[in-house]
Amino acid sequence: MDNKKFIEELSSRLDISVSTVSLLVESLSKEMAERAANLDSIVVPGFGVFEPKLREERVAVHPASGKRLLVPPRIFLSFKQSPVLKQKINNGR
Amino acid sequence: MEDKLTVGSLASNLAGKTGKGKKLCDDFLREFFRLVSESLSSGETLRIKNFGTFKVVDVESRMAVNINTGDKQEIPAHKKVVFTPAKEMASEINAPFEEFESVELDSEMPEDLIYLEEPGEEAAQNSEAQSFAEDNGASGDEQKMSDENEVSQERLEEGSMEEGSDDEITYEAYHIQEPNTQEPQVTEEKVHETPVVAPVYESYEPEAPKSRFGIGFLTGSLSMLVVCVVIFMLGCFFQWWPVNFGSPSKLEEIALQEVPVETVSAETPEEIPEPEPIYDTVSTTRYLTTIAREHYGNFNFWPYIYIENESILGHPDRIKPGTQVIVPDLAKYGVNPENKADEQKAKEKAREIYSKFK
Repeated sequence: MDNKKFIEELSSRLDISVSTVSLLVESLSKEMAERAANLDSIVVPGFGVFEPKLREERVAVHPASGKRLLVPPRIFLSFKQSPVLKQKINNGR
Repeated sequence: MEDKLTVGSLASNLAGKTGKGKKLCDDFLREFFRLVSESLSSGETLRIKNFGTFKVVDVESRMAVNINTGDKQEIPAHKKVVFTPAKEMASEINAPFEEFESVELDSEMPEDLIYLEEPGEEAAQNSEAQSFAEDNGASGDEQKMSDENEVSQERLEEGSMEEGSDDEITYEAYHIQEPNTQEPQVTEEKVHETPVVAPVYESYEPEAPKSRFGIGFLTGSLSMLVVCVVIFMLGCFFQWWPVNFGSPSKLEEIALQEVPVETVSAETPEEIPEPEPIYDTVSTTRYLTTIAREHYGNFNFWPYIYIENESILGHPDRIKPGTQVIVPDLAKYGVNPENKADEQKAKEKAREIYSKFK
């Protein structure tokens, strides 16, 4: 399912306009990014947990040139599915 | 920080942001995740623009050991959901770190210098020495020059004493026969040095007859050696005297206070009506970029602070916390923080600074 279909489906289910849905999706991603930047995790019952993980800065060696690099810190947004979702996708085959 | 957010609080935040009703946002979120999970359970990959991709991947069966009981059991093959944030989202998450980039390190740099959180005493001294070595500023050189001058002056005194006894061989004899007569005449430092020098010379002496070279050549070279050792030791003594006898914290204070004062005094003669320089302090949370943003309104202009303080700074990413820097007026460098072209120039300067440490 691509983005367009997804938004159309959402708008028909919620009975609101497509533009409102796309605005909501946009601001949802912004909101989540903002939260993740603060290392707040987002728990969605029955779906899973979005958990940002901070990777500290480190010294890495470039495999080809052998030069050492100081890699800056970075936040990764990890997602862990809930058992409910896991069951759903495994039974749905 | 590090809170757990539920759908409810997310919905109220969303409502505040978009201006839609809270009820609508709440419904939207629930429907959003329900639809995602529905489309996932049908095995589809779902890509949402500016948000990310949800994907179902197969996990092969594998053996696992129960840590408590030690029983082996098989985890059957199953599917799981993988989420990859979209590029836009990932970069937004990392907004606090966006001004950093990977920095190439000097391969000889020891590990403990890289981490500034707990700089050991030795690391501090090393960096001190390094900053002196890299230093092109007048202040450091002048200090060194004056040290060397002192040493060479003493050498001259010594030399004039030696010249009284005409040539080098007699100087040797002078040393051997009357090692103590020199002491009353020399300065305080030499009193410490001569006992060290004499044994060195004497330990070499027994080897002299075995050598195939002429006595003149041998004594000449030996005397050169002795002279070199004396110079070296005096040099070391003067150079490292504050390190050996002052506590490290004192040394830091001296380095922090003296150097800026010297650079200022070096510049003031040319521009006398210069206003009072603005000082700022680098800490673990305040970098040159932070200072630049505060004073100039644009972090890209940090290289000018660096250039102003080049004489006391080493690598721009490894400045010792607590270092006091002068924040120069940008007009001095003929740039304006509002000007886009000057911003490019500043970035170019940053690249130059980094390239120096490659």
